[in-house]
Amino acid sequence: MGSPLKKIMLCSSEKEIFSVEEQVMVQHSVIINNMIEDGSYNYEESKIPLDCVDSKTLKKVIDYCTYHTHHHNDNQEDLEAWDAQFLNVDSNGLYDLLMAANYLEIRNLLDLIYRTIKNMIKGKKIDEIRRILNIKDHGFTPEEEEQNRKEYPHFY
Amino acid sequence: MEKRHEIMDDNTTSSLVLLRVPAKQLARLRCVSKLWYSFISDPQFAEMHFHHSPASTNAYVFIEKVTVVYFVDLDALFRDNNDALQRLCSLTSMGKFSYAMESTDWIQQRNILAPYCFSLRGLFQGYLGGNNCESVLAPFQVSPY
Repeated sequence: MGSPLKKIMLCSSEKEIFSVEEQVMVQHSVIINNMIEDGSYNYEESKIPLDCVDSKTLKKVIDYCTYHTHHHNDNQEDLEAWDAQFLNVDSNGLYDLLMAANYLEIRNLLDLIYRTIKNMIKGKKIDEIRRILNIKDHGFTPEEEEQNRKEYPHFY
Repeated sequence: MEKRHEIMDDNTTSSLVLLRVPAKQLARLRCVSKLWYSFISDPQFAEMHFHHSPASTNAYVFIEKVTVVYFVDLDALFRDNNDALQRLCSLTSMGKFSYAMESTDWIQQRNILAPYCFSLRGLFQGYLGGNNCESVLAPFQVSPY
């Protein structure tokens, strides 16, 4: 664990550099925590390249980690309201965040995203779910699909 | 934006989302895609889901004439929810259910019914095998399913 005000550099896929409090990322990202702990991050020269994370997404990820670092004592309701606002993005944005959180191993953000996706499909009809999740190829043969629709008409 | 993946293209994503979905919705979600179908039908997934899922439900399984299985969610029933009664599956594939569990003890011990048809096995064997009757109302607590 480094001192609270130490900064580390993160580099997005567009090669934009973000300077973040070390503590913020260490607390949330398993990967970054490991890099700091095993000494593979060099404070003078290193920037952590995140080739699969674009600037817009990286900024959001940093916002999330920063907020949750500084507000972890807030009451649960406030945090949940903030999270809901934070994830008020389209499904592409959600996907980008998911990939980034997955890459950086930010477990609480991952969990939040999975729960959000779960809620997006809760109680929805099959056709709606496919639309929401942008599933174009469901993989069933036309016969299987017809059989399902016949057997479970109320699902569709 | 350039290339865009389908958010559920990814196996890990799918399974991690599905693990969080309450069991009573899983029957429906099997129809979303072949990928989800295979996930939800996988006994390993059932086991993981059991350990993962936090909620518990009061539910009954109602077997009608040994051919149709209903899942009745009592909590939902009282909330006047259309999902309360779900036809689970037609037991056209009875063969599948015949070997899994030896007795109803399993239900009492575990106090669960794991997800729908694939894990209904224990119940089927216990009740259908034991009673060989036409219709059975089998009470059990579904926890977490």
